[in-house]
Amino acid sequence: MARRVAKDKRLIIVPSDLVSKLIEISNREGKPFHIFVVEAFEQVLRAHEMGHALKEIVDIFEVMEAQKSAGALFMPMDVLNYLTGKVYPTDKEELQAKWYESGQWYGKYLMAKFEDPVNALERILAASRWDLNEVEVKRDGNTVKVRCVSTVLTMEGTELFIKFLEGAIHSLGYQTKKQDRLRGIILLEFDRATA
Amino acid sequence: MKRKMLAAREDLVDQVSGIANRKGFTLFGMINDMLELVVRAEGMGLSLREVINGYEVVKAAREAGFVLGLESLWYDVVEEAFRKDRDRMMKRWFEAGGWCAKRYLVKGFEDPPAAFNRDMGTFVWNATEFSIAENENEISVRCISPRFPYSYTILFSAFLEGAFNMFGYKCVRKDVARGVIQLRFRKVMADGQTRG
Repeated sequence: MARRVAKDKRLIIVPSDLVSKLIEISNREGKPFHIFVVEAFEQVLRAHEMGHALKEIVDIFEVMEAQKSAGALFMPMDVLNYLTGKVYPTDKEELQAKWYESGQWYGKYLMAKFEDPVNALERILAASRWDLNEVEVKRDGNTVKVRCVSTVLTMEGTELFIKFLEGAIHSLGYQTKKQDRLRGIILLEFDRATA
Repeated sequence: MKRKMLAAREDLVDQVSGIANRKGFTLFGMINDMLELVVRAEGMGLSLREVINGYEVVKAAREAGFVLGLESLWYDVVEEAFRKDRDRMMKRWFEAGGWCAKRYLVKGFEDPPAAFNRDMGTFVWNATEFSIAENENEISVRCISPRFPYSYTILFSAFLEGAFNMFGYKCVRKDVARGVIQLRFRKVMADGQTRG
């Protein structure tokens, strides 16, 4: 599909509506179109050198932007584990209530931001909770099933994360049907809440 | 579907074509996907370069032992633990800063403190101002966030102190108030003294 045109240049076939959009963007950015195209190619190669597909990077970045606007921040994991381990034994109920409330708020945020909040929750957890080795949030008719596996999550972290997930999914209109957990393993099942 | 011809640099087309072949895509499909991502990034108000830069920050945070969590929950736990045992918490955060800096020292960066400074500047996205300035044997750190509670401000300053301590600097001036951190470090010389 590529034709040679002049020395060092090749012609490639692209849908014309896409070319029109790109010309609009390059005009807005005040860049000559050929430079704009070169930069796009360079970024694909850069992503490839990093060992990722460009789409994967854009997907992760989009999720991070959503997390950022939801009030997320980076925290040192070992300090977080230490702190929760320290506070949890004496303030378990209070912490669980806070995590649940925070989850409820997060569920509302997902509803406001995404057309399919259940799917968004899975994408966000997969991209931003890298302490989880496996994440699955699946809707099946009136049921939502959650499965998370982590080799580094502490017992306190597991229990608090369950509360957060419950808060989020309850505010999406579901109620807990089943709960199974071990340190670092979470299996939850929710049913559509009846009015 | 109407199509147009687009002129692109031959070497770049060849490289992308090579990737497409290896992945079992057609060049047409691969270039279409790529250009659609340019449009999608623009929809976020960013260029592809900025998106990849942002992704690199996330990757660096992950490698440096950070996780993402909600700010409000984080502050609650910090506040409670700080109230219970302030001294131990400060020690722990100091150690965590040291561990984080050590990671930069062993990872093979050409200039580990510079890499740490660059990454911290982007990790602390909830601060309204975060700057690390280096001048000969001195480093000045300034972090301002009206959202930081007192406990978090104190502990985060201990984290930074632990990190620069690991890089061979000693804190010679510390001004910390709720939401404001101003630290000055001086390089520790071979004789164990600091010189500014």
